[in-house]
Amino acid sequence: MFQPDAFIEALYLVLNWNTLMWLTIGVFVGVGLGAIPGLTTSTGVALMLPLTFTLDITGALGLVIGLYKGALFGGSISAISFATPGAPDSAATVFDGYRMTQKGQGRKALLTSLYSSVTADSLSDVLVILIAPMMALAALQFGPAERTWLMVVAIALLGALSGKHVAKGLFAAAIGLYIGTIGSDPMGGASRNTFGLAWLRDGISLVPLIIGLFAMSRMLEQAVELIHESRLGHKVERKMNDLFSNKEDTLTFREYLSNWREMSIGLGVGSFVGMLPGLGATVASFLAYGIAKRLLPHKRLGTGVMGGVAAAESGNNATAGPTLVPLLAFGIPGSATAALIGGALLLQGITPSPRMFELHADVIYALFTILILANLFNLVIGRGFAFFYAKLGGLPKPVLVPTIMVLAVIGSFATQGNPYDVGVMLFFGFVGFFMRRFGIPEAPLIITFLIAPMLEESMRRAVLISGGDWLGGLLNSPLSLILMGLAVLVLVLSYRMRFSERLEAMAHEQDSQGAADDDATR
Amino acid sequence: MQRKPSRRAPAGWWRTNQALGLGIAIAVAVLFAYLWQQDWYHREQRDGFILGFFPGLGLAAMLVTALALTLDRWRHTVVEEIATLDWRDLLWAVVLSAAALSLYALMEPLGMLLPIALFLALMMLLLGLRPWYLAAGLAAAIALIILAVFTLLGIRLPGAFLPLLI
Repeated sequence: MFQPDAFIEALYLVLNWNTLMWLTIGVFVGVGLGAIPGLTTSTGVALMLPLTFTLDITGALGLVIGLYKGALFGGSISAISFATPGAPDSAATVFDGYRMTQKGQGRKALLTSLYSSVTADSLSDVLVILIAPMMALAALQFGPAERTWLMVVAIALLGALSGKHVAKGLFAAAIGLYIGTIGSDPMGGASRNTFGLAWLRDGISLVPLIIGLFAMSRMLEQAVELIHESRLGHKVERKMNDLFSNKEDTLTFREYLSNWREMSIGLGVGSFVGMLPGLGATVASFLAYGIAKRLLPHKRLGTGVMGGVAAAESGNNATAGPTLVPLLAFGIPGSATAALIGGALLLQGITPSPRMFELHADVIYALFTILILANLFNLVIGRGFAFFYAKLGGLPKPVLVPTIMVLAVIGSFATQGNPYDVGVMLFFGFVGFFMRRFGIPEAPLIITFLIAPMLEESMRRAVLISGGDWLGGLLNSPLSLILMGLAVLVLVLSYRMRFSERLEAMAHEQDSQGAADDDATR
Repeated sequence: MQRKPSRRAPAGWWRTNQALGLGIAIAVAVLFAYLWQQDWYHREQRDGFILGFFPGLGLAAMLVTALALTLDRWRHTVVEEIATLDWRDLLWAVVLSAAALSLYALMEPLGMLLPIALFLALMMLLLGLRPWYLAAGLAAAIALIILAVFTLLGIRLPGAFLPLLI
């Protein structure tokens, strides 16, 4: 399976100034985006997608993966500095991180966050490098029927785990399935579902769809909120001085090592959760924090200790690599960010699938190398500039929101130079605004939009092979039956077990316990 | 989000998941009826599938999930964001989207610098940035930075830098 020539080619592609420069820019911008409350990883990657069009494959991957990893760590900076997580992924970090800042240990909290993030991220990347090729090898044995059911399982998981309400997650997935059929028939090429508009014959373009859903919709939402607010933002008590104080203790190597149990829990939980479609970094960080708190009662997590920061941060960062496993092994993105990285690959003319390991082994090795290198860059940039980024969290939203709206307009046009793309972006910006208001998650939409043509092709091939016999075509092997059963089981269990509600309740429990601890301390 | 009490609309039935599901189901049914009447929908392909099968499958999935919203155990739930939503929020979203579209429409005739700077300044003022000269200065500076970066990167832009310049 290992191809030395391709690996050497990948090293040659990655270890040059161009790729390293884009990787540096990606991490640098990513940490900054992560540190600014209201800007999520998806927003950042969505805005950068048009730029990847002008880069070579490794430069594009360096930019996007660097940005992703940087933003994951960056979210903890504002969580620790002033109790406002840059993104939901870092919400669990507030419990101990902000209390450490209040106790005058902000610098230690930030360094704990950085080191545990990088440690868990690096180890989970190694796991990806070991697991993804094996899974891809297995996936290559799948026929069209198995591939169809695998995609159905992924959609069921996405619907079940993406939001608080199963039906809403599945509804978002159904929208993606529908708009994925706009354009032309993937097998015959006949025009369909275009509403008589000639410019829709090529289908909905990925970049304006992504920018609309992940950037414009959020900016519309924030702009509407700002218009309603009587004053500029709400004032958050900030104890920034501690972070910049030279008097404060830094983190010793012994202290870093003392968190090994919390980091291991975060690594295990994050890696597992990352590989499952639909869950994501927020769930991983709350789960890792909750498990560490229960398993290690003597550490008194929630009272402003390093262990809490380490568990939450290693949990969310350990999802970064594994979230790419379903994308690389099966061609099915497991999260919104994986879908965006898949989008970047598609823009470069590479379709993510298990065959990528055969057809583009150099790109796969380059991706693995970039995953590892991004952690080193994250460490260096995070260590050097974390205290500068803490100030970025205070950037006024009235400046930020219109700037991102301008970038969204230019970015959606830039990819193809198509004026209609701006209209598509604005339309989906409005759709995304509605979805967010109604509590409908956007991630299942974008993921099913990406896999819709593959799903259609696999299903039609399976039926075609069996001479038009649906049952014989789609349920032609024990694996097909198992996968179909799994999809049904996921849907039934998700309705009966109220998994998302439990996770939310757990987050509230941590929050209220933390508040109680605060009251007790006072 | 801080709001005046008078702005808060009551959480009536139409804000529940059931109302949302019903509204979506009706819209999807109308869309399905429209597609059904199209000639292309029933055109058979070489593999035996009709051209409208997969768009129809997507709509069927939307319909089933929308109906699930009206019937499942969360049907009476009102999502927090919906409880506080009023028509002015929707109007603002439309106005802001229209403003972004106008920004694009003006880029070609007026060049990019002026519409971007104007859009940024007006938006900053609307969103509460004061004093006005700070908004104007920041808008001009950000517009210049955006254009410089995009030009340096060789990214295709919707218009020239200044009016009448190619």
